[in-house]
Amino acid sequence: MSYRRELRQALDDRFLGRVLSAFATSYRESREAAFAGEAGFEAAARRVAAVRGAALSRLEELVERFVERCEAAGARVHRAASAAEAREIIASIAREAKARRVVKSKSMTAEEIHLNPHLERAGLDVVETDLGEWILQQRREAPSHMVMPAIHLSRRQVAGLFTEHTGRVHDPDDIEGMVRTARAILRQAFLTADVGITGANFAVAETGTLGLLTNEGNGRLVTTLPRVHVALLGIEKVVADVGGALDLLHALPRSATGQTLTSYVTWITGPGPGRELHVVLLDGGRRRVARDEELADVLRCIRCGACANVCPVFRLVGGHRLGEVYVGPVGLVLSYCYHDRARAGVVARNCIGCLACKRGCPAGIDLPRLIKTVAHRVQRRRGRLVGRLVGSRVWLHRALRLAAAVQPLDQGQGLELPAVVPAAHRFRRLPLLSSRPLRERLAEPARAGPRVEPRGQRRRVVLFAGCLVDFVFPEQGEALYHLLRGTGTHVQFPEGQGCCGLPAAMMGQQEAARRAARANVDAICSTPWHRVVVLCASCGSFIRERYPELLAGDPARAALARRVAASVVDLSTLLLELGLDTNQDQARAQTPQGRPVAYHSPCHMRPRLAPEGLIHAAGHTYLRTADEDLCCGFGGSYSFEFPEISSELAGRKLEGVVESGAELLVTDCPGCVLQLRGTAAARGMPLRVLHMAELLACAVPR
Amino acid sequence: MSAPAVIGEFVQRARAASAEVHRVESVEEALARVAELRVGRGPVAAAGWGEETLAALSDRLGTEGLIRHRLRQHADAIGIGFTPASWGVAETGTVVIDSADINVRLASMLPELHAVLLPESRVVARMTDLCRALGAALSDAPGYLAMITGPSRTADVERVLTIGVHGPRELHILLQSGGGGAT
Repeated sequence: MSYRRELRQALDDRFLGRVLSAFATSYRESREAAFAGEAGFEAAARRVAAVRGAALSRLEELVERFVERCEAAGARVHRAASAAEAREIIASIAREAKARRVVKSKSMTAEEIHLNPHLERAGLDVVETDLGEWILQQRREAPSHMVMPAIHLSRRQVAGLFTEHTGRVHDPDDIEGMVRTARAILRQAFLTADVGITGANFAVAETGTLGLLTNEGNGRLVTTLPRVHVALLGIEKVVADVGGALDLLHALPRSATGQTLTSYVTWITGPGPGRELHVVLLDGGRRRVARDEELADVLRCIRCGACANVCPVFRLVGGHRLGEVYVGPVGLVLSYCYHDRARAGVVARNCIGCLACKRGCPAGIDLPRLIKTVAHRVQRRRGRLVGRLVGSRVWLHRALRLAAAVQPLDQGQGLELPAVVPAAHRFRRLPLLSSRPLRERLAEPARAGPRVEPRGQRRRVVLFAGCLVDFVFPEQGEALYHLLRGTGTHVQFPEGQGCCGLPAAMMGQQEAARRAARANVDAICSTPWHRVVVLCASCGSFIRERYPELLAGDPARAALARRVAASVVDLSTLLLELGLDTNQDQARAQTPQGRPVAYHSPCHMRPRLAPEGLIHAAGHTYLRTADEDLCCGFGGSYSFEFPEISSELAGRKLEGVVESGAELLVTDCPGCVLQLRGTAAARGMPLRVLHMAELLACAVPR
Repeated sequence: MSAPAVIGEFVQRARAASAEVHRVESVEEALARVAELRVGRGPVAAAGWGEETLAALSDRLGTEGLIRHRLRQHADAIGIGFTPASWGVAETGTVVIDSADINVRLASMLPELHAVLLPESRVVARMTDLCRALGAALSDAPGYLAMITGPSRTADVERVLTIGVHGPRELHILLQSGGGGAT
């Protein structure tokens, strides 16, 4: 089946959508409580990143130390260069133990090397003992989530499986009854197994200790009842000492499910008397990844699944469509490292670039960036035209003007795509290019105000408009001029500015992005300023986060790029700095027709805005909606490549807003406006979508 | 000695994790509570205890009511497992049990009810307070430490929290005030 069809199927799975959506909401709340707020999370994440980073920087040394301590404690250590070697080592341990039955506790590494089929072919009876994994084993399915492997299955499906397995009818609503049945079946397996196989959540070099987290307690039984224990782990699981392990322990369950701690944490050093402990240390490509500068950070992953929990795409399509064995955002990268590269490259395109996973990762991995790297490596040739246009302002602007001249006439409703365009793409109306871009409108002296700087103005800002504001929504730029008039702020629009470069970077066209960065830094620095104001959150984020790095090797511009990056501010934040939200009473008096307004928080806006003050300043009432900061589904080219997912994200968001009773939806990014306004129009929803600049400008008399 | 606030947090966190917490004044009282818990259940598997405590327990439960050896053979019969804890952690409501003795593992995992004796003096505020003690305990091979927070649980079917999968359905913490514990 094609990847697109798999996605369609997942989107049509009503149960999946419901359960993942409910989980996403409850996860956010419980994680917030478990970390005691955002500050608690950030502190924990800094420690995990430090511990994992330090361990990886001296990986070989720590592995050797761990091996030495393990062996001193009486364990036998086996080194496996590849998945095939690891499988064979484990099979031969079982053979030597004359094993017939093997019990396993949940191990993603065992899934990674496809251990079960190999052991079964060797004649062993392999029993998964984690309830979710046991269910999947019966169904011959892969996990769809790192810590909740069977989250995609309904109680009805599970009850059916129990009924089939036991010959006794199980009621789907009696989950406790199913768990009792599983306890009885698996207890027998534990008592009769000869070998127990586990993974490890961490390995402590200083003491030669394995750490295992479970909620069900199967990890303890697997390591206690069979005489032989085999622990399979990737070499990257090693940390220096117990202190480091405790830092991981603090973050792992909190990030995974919002639990403060799993029911059981088991620390094992060596086998007990009369018992065997085999530690299988897997390379399986990890050393190669460690040497790969662009991808090495993925080895910091602690397998908590947080990136999936916060991913808007995962929420819609689940794990089976986002990775092979490892799923979710990190799975897109790990699948490339350890599994089918070609497929990984296709799937890695299904990243909307919303940055939620980067912010939610307790190990501080820049996942969106790693995912883009994977996608570009597999499909190198894409995006050349985009790169060429983005890299040259003159050509880009010529192309845009040409397109504006030949497009259909603006009927004021946006463009409904003709029926020749595949249905999936027709979920929103597309705006037309403006016949007079912002740069032309500002060139008219009457519109732009005095070009000579009046005396007494304290603040100088440069407007970086970005393509959407310049060529599609120039009224948003005009609104900004209108708003700042009379605030003692002098606004300038340097004409040398073009595309920020983000679309090129998204396509892997680094050089084009660099050319754009260079031209824009030159344009911005052609005039003195205190602040660079943006109306587009994505342009702002790209300038802030990538310009310093793109121009780091450019002696003439490196320092300027850093200065520009540090000065970028979105309009709303600038207005808060100017104190515009403080004269609320005045604003309310001017516009007594206050209306209920919801806010959409753009993914790329940092810091996230508390929009209440500005909405009140505009004379309206702010309505907070549940998923205010969930991605609108635009993601630039993403919405053209994955229209099904894009439209579903926009549709759900808009439905929530309409249900809240809001009449207006306001945001701080023209990309979000394009997506949400176009979708609302196509669906005939009674909702106006505006940029914050437009909402505020309405409240300031002309 | 642990401050009352730390003990208070421990109790609250342990209960939040679905553990039962009983305050007891002495080892004797703890043994009496175990005998009460035993009513209507199979025999008590006691592991990790010194002879003195076992003798006192045997006096209360009778030879029929106490299993001391070959726990595995009695896997189906054991009603209660009874073990000491080395430490408690207030921030998570966790008990830490030295489980190098395989019988301690079996007593704390096989039955539906696990009772654990924890002296208040062994409760620390934060997990990191145990860093050095854990490092020492784990350097001493063979080492097997169990951190236990509430009963065995799963949410693998439709994320519905269900108690008692492979381990105990009930965790009872007998929190002993005053000085040292039993051996």
